[in-house]
Amino acid sequence: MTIVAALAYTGAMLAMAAGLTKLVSPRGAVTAMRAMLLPSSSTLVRAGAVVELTCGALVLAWDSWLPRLLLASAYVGFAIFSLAVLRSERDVPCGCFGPGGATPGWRHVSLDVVLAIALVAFGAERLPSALGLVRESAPLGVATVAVVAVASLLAATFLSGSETARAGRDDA
Amino acid sequence: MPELVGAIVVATGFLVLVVRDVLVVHGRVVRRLEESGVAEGVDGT
Repeated sequence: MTIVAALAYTGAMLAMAAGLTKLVSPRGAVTAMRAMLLPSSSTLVRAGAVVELTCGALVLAWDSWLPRLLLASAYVGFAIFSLAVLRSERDVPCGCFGPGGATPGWRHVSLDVVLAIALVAFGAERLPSALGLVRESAPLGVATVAVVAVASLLAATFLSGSETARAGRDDA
Repeated sequence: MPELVGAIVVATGFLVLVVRDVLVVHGRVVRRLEESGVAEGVDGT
């Protein structure tokens, strides 16, 4: 179950990073939603970004299952959106981390699904939050958070790979 | 401690995916350069 906790922390940090960038610059997400004929505005995207940021922070700081389930639902929503873009075959930037970025591909769908499953399992298993880990053992907790931060940065880089996000389709 | 091990495994997994991306892009650039005749053996071979 250790992988589950690590994936859940990574999902939470990724959501915080995505929420923060969309809060600062919602244009990319607005473009993506408009292209898919969804209702969109900077205010709407910023409101969603605040929810994303809050859920991510709560998953890291609170032992309750509620934010874990909410964030899992958000990742299911992202997976459905990515799948819709993928099926439409439009070149829509995902807007996950502000303007630009990769067009959603299978990597977005699969990672979103994996993180959603991990967050549900994380809530069901009642595993400790990152803050709980730090309180339990400061050196190990801080080291875990630091490694998870690196994992989140790498995950964001992986999702932003504009040249390779649709590699499966391009190479086919 | 188990969570730290899990975090290291997850970070390593993402690192492998990112390195794979870099190699894929590098391979494409080399192939396009060679196909366009701009350069031959740009990958050092």
